[in-house]
Amino acid sequence: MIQMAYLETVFLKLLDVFGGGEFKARDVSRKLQLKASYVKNLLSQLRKRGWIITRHDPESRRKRLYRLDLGAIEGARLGAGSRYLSDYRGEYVAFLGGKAVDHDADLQALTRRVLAKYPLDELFITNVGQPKELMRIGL
Amino acid sequence: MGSEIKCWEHSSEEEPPYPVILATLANPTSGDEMRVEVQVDTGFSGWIAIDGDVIRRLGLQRIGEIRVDTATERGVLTELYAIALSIPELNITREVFASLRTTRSLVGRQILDNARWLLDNVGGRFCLLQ
Repeated sequence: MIQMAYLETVFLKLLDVFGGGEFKARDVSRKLQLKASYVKNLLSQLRKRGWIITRHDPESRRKRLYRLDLGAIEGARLGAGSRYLSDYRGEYVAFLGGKAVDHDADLQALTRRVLAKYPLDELFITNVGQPKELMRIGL
Repeated sequence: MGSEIKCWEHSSEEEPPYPVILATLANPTSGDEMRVEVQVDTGFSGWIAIDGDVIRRLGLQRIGEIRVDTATERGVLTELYAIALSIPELNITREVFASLRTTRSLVGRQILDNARWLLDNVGGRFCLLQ
């Protein structure tokens, strides 16, 4: 079992490297200089804690793409070491190539601003922590 | 009470029928568009939500994922798509919104709250009032 404190350190390292962008297990292996088998275990542990989201790689169904879940870490101790999690908490953040390019508590204002500036297919918008204006459906 | 500017017949796709308004949804990049009956959902605190059929037919690209609360679950991860919305009766013309992906296309309170409405379930219609 990997220690919680170490997982938090890894999360923050991944945040520095990949920001809000997607990555593959082999990218983690290369960037953090860890063995592939160890990375597999590490990503599995992060996933179990709800800190990363996975989906099948459209280019290879046998492989997975990973992304840090910045919206699910409200209440975790992760904020202190990260600019993303302290500066943007409670807001929507737009990432381009994994790096934050804009942020706003108003989702629509952010969307219109970034769509006017950046290519749509390279953008990724998500919430960091719980948004101040959380959307509710069916309530 | 004001007079009716426009009324939309309830959708009878299920029983009991539910209120809808007609909207034009477009892909902001390609300009492809379609007319869609969107369900009026006063329990939706957002703007617009679209279903998988709209996404496929307009060839929309995912622009993100956010967490939302539903009636049965908190923090549900939900995909976001950019959509250009037109509802002429509300003076909305090709306005770009980040839209949630849901199982049915919905219009929420952020859009509905700027107008006066009549929900006429006896007559089976939903009307915009002056």
